[in-house]
Amino acid sequence: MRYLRLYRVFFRNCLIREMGFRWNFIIRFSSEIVWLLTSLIWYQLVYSYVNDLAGWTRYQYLFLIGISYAIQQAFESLLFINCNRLGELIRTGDLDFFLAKPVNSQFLVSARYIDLGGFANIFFGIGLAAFAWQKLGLPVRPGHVAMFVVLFANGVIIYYVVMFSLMCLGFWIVRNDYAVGFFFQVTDLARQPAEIYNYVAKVFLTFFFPMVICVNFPANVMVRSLSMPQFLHGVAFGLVLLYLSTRIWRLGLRAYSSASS
Amino acid sequence: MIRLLRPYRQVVSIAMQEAMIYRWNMFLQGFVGLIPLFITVMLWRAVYVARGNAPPMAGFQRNDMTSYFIYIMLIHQFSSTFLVDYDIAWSIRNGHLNKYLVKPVQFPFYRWIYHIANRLVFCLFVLFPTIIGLGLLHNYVRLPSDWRHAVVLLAMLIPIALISYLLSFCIGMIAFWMLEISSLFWIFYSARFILSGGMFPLTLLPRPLEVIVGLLPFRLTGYFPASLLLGKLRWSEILDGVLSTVVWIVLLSLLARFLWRRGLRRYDAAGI
Repeated sequence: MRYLRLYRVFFRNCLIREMGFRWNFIIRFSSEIVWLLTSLIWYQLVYSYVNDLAGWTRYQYLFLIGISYAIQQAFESLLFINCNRLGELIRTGDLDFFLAKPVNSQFLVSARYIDLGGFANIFFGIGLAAFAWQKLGLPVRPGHVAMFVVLFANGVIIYYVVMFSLMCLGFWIVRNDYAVGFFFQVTDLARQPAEIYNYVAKVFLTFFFPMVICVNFPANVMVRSLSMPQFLHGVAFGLVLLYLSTRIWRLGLRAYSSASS
Repeated sequence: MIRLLRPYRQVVSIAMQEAMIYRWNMFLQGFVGLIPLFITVMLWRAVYVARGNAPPMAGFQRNDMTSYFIYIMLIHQFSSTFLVDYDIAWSIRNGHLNKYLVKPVQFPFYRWIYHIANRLVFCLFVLFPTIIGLGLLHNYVRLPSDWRHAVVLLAMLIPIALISYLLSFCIGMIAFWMLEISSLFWIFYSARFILSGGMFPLTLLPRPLEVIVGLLPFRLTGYFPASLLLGKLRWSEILDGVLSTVVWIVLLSLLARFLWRRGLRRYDAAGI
């Protein structure tokens, strides 16, 4: 409860900051749209040559694009912009300010800032997915919607754990600049239909480095099919990773050398 | 003349030493750069499976497509101007440029030399290992069937890299006029990636679009050299590509010069 209240304050604070730079908001919003546009160009081109790709029909694939965009944006606007600062905080010792506050330090470091330009984009992705979903003419099943919501959050959490762990490497390695580029190239694996990968890659991406769980699972539950064991596997994976991230954070803090005092 | 060139020898040496410090960073960058290639190859494999026995798209067989993206990746890595635009914009923004303006060097020229030295180290640590690594995949790669194509490509490598560099340099100079640029740069980056043929061979585009894209310089930094190696171009088209390269180098150099002079007049030299 306390954390929800705290988060509301963060949100209000970011809204006020953002109002000061309205242009910035608009440019951020539109530059993120470019992400979506590039996927849509590819989509349009490929589906002018084929009717289905790895078993994904036209609108199923469009749904996947919309959802992957929404998950990406949710992660970027709520968590990524904080993770991105972490390296700098560790290097300069400014992390001290976060550690001295009487709340969970991982929560504070990961959720302090919210990028509202990206936040608005979540609804853009959802809207695109809703359009595709409506074209597919599937019946609404409350159970599936509930599973979808859980898996959506689960996908965001897995993205977060990967990025957060990469940034935590900064506790041991001084220059960790490439982590961000690495993250985006790796999560590109999540945005594709899992069926395109060969057997080995698919197994690896489902059971070892769970990129398939992030986007494919929530999309599957709505427009294709996802079994209960798969659902539980996905959620369990997310929770275990989240727990591991807290261990890594602890471990990192032990190696943290603080400011030059 | 010799005296004027002497500072640049130091620049080369410094740039190389700096690049050597980040060799592991570079290595990782090159290695991770294989992930997008993997995804692209997998996606196109699925496209070809979905098409079954339908005629190949714009004359690209499945193997052609795989080789195409491998060539594109190598060319992009070779001519990469990753972060050059940011670096220039950053120098302009925070007044970093001052320290070059008071020295007897020409900043555009200095920055170019620096870039070349940096790329040389990159080629040594990333590109050659990658090429050797790809040798293991030789069953999937279609090597050039006509040796003359390979010769043309080798001659074109530097001009291609120069076009890529000039584009980034011009984009970086936008910082003279605009404050918030990183988003804009991202848009340019995406546009360049698609228009250079990094996402799909440009011949797959509908005809009118293909013609328009063909008039822009971007295809020269990806689609043109890759399809040259695959033997997809007639000699008249190759000649056209070579001539366009020369014309674009001249045009972009003139644009860069123009922007640089105009920009300096607006430059407020923050930090003085």
